[in-house]
Amino acid sequence: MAREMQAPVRMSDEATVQSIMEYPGVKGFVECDKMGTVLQAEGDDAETFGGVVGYFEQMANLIGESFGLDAIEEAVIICSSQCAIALPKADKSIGVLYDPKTKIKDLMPLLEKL
Amino acid sequence: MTTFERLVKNILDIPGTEGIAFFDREGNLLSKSMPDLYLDDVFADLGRRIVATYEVVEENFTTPDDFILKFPGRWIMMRRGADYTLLLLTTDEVNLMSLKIVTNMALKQLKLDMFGPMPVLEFSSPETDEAAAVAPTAEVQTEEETAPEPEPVVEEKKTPAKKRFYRGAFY
Repeated sequence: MAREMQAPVRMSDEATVQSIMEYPGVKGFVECDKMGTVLQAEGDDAETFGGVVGYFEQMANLIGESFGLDAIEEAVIICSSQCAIALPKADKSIGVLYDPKTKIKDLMPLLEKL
Repeated sequence: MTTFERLVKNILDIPGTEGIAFFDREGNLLSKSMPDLYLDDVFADLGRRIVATYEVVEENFTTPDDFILKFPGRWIMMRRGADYTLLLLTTDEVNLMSLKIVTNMALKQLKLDMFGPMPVLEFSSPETDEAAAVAPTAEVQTEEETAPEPEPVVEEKKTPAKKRFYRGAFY
């Protein structure tokens, strides 16, 4: 039985990723497909974060499901030394690592384009 | 008012905060004040999932303090205390900074042995108003609801007893 061929996931373009990395306070960027495979990673700990992004999003959805909420839009991990945001997209997940003092809200328009 | 009640009320005073729940490190529910549309069995799985999320992120990435999960119209914030996790359900218009400041105070002062029954509060969200209209939710019943109103006492007019005459005298 032939397996269905999945369309390749479109990776974010280099220029956009570079703009994100150059944003003050941003430490890392990671992009994963829905199977959890890291497609691209830039910066410290990005690949490590890529390893948990999929699970974190799934658990976030289950927690939201307990309250009858729709699919997650944004999931943030806050630590003393850094923060991480996971953004689910249609066919992939985007993760950004940043300093806690970073105004991540200003970066959102750029992340939403990915 | 106990310290626990005071701290919980301070948190729920923040506009946009709809509910609060506390779980121990094993995911067991310690206490909650949530809109009644969320049945108790929701919280059994919820605690387990929260613990799993913290454990996996800590084991594979970094030691997390807080999670903020943003859904359409609602946010869930989870904050870790010394021996427990605090979960907050809010609207998407809540002032996160105010919430963080107030919950910082709670996390600093609340200890595991201080958890008790949640203070009875009135919720102002539309869902809880509808739920209240369908089924009464107040755990504490006032005396007016439980005790029937006393019937007015009607004093019967006593008619004087008829006098009787016996052996030359009236009784």
